[in-house]
Amino acid sequence: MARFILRRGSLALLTLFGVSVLTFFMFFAVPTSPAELQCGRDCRPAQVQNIERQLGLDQPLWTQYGQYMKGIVVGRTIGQGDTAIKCEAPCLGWSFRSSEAVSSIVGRALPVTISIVLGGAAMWALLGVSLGFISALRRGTWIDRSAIGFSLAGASLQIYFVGLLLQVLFVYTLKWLPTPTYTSPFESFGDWIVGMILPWTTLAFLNSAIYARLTRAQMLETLSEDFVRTARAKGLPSRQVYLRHALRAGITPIVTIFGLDLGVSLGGAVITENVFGMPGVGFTAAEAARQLNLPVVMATVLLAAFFIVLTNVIVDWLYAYIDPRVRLG
Amino acid sequence: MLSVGILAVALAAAGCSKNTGEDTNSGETTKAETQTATLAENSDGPAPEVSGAKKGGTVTLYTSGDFEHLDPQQNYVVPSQTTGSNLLYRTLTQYRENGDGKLEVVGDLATNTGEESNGGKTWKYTLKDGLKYEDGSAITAQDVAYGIARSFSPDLPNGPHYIQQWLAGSADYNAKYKGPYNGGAKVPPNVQVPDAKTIIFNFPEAHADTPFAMALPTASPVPPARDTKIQYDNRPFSSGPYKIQTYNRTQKMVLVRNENWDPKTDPIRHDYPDQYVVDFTRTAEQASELLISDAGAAQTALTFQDMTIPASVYPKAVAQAKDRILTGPTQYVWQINFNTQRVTDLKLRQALNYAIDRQGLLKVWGSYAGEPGSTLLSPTTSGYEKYNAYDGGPTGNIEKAKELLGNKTVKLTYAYRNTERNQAIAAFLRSSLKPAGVDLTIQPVDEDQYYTVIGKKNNQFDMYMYGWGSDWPGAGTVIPPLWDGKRITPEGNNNTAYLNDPKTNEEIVRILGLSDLTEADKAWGALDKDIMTRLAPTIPVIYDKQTTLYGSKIGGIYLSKPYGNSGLNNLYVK
Repeated sequence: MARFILRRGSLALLTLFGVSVLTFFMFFAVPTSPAELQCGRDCRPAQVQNIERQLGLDQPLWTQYGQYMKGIVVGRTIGQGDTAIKCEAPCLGWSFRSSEAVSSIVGRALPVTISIVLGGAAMWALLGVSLGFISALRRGTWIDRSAIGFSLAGASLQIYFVGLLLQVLFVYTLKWLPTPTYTSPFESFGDWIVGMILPWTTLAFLNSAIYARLTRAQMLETLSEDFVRTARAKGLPSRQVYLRHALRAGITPIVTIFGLDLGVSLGGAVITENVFGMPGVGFTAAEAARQLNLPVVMATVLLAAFFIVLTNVIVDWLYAYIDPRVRLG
Repeated sequence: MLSVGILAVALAAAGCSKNTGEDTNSGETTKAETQTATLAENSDGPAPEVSGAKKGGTVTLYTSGDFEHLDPQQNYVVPSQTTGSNLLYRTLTQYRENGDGKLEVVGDLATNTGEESNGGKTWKYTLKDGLKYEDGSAITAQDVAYGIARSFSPDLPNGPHYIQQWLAGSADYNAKYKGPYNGGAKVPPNVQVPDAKTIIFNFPEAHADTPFAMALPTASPVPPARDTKIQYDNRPFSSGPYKIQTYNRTQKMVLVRNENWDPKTDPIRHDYPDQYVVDFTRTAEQASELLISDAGAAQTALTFQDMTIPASVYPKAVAQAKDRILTGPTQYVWQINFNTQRVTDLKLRQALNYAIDRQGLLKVWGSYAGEPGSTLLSPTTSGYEKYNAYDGGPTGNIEKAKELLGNKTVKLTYAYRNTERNQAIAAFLRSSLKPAGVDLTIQPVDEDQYYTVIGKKNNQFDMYMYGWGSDWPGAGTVIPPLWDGKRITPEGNNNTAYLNDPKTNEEIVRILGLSDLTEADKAWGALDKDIMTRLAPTIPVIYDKQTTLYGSKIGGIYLSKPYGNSGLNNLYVK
């Protein structure tokens, strides 16, 4: 186990380092001046130079990168004189657009994304696996065809279409639901659920297709295997045969895909968040990219990379739990 | 000479009105007039009650993005100025509007609009009694001076620069003073604060517009102990009727009543709603659909900031929520500037003025969002006189243009801000000017970079769209920044036509020195016409209009003349 953690941890750090270098230097390839953007429309060259000094943009690139990474580990001071800012570790930088620490921005956006993605993922996994499971057991029947047809419809549509359609129907026309809005579950659990219903439903409808197809295929394959026949021959009830033996054996690739989907989505469900006007990590990242707000772009990209790396590690660990034949090492 | 008391800008009643659902492209909009009055009591509070208004409820403002700056000394954009000046902080003077088009400048923190002496160079303001911040502490003249001192700081560059430049007597106001940080004085040069209730400005030159300038958030008080410098943006300390409860940048801001604001001292503001919520996450489409549906919280909401009803939703809004649309002219004029360094042929510039198809352009722009324009000054700006120096009719006079061009073909490059609307406008201009013999190459510029790029003196474009609105309803904030050639610098220019005409420059200096605003208004109007007739450095095309959609339980809404935005002072929940 220790070896597993050490190996995967080192690999994760290496990946994050690579992503940070790429993002940082790619940003400076853009032919624009963040200081000019920060300074606004009626700005004199002296003011631009002052902002460049404050942002540290007058330093060599490697120095800027080194200061950025140092800030993550031990914190740093940004700017000079009375207006200098002490940015505590882990300092992800300072947004001069909104005059606040990037960690505050990310800290505010992350719960929104986590709420959307965890709820949506639970729904799409449950819906997809259930549909696939039922389809496999009722292969060739109208239930099978309906379930797969439903999930395929979801896979064929786009989130900006379904999301808007559901809003027009349930919010603007029928007025059954309020505008999708994020409320902290610790503030009001009921409002949190109600505000999230549409994003969750949309994500579940669109993303469950692949899980349904995969579960169906895996179930059909494992149901024909010898160990399932043996379990049946031993007189185990059908429920135990399907759930404890067939599904457990067939679910490994589904867990892999789920882990990747979860990691990617936690890094920012850009379209979902924009369609529903929810300022999560994806919404924030898109806005920061548009505004060329480097510190926020860096932080959101690193966060996305972190989640992908993290979910991969968890998936690897889950393999061993689900399938006793797999050992960590 | 300006009397002590009120400087009033009276606007003809045709302007701020509810939409009838019909396009009103008559070109007949408001005409602004300035007049001085001596009703000092109009600076006294409380503000007149709004008929039918009651306390309670939450008003939600839908916007598609966060405020750029709420720090009063960095606040230079219409919606954030409206929010700041209507709800959060008070200034030495301010605008009083009752929603029927009448606009007055009155004393806000000050007992009047200023006592002038020394030929308009010295202005004295006395603070009212009983002024308090949100924590109950007294607002002092030292705090007003400190606020203005902050506006000099190079670390806070985004606010208006009028007061700083007037005090310094130079455009480079940082040459001798860089604000109160890093050991700088807490009172700027040429400002005296003899006691806690008196502040005196000694400008090197006369400035008759001072009562207007003191309505800018620059003249808002900041107590030094509460100054969080560049972070003040996130939590300005309130002197107005509301204070910030929470402000999650890019997400939501919640304002609650400031219990220490005394309405008896305030001639302008009310605090009818219990709360204001600013929702920064709605797209214009979402917000418009929500407001048309008029469901739940949308009943007490309105579109705000730059959010106007999208063209795709507008017909639906007119069909289903016609009586909940507020529309009217703003102070902005959109014009197609010639880069006169490159387009040096006057006849060519005049030809394009004749050829322009304003009617067609307005259809592409969104016919509900503007009216055809022909002057440098907006009809809402004092000094405006209606004229069209090159009247080619609503769709342009191609024959006249060809005649001026001698039937030759000219090649020009038009730069445009890379947005959907401006892409369509660029394509329209290319096709509509072709018959006149203009071969227009259209070139997109990144949305966020646009003003930076065309603000560079050495830019390589011949023409571009430029919008400008007055900082107060006076031509002194339009003609000088846009047409004074002596203000041209290598970068950051507002004179993007790069017009440097000695006669114009001299006339600007002369008018700025006038202490009689009525005389100044007439002179600005004449200069507007002279610039267009003699030099044609631009094609004024559209007088901008603001369109706001609001919920059925919103009361007291009006279009604010100086801000060109929905005024918040009188809002209440029905």
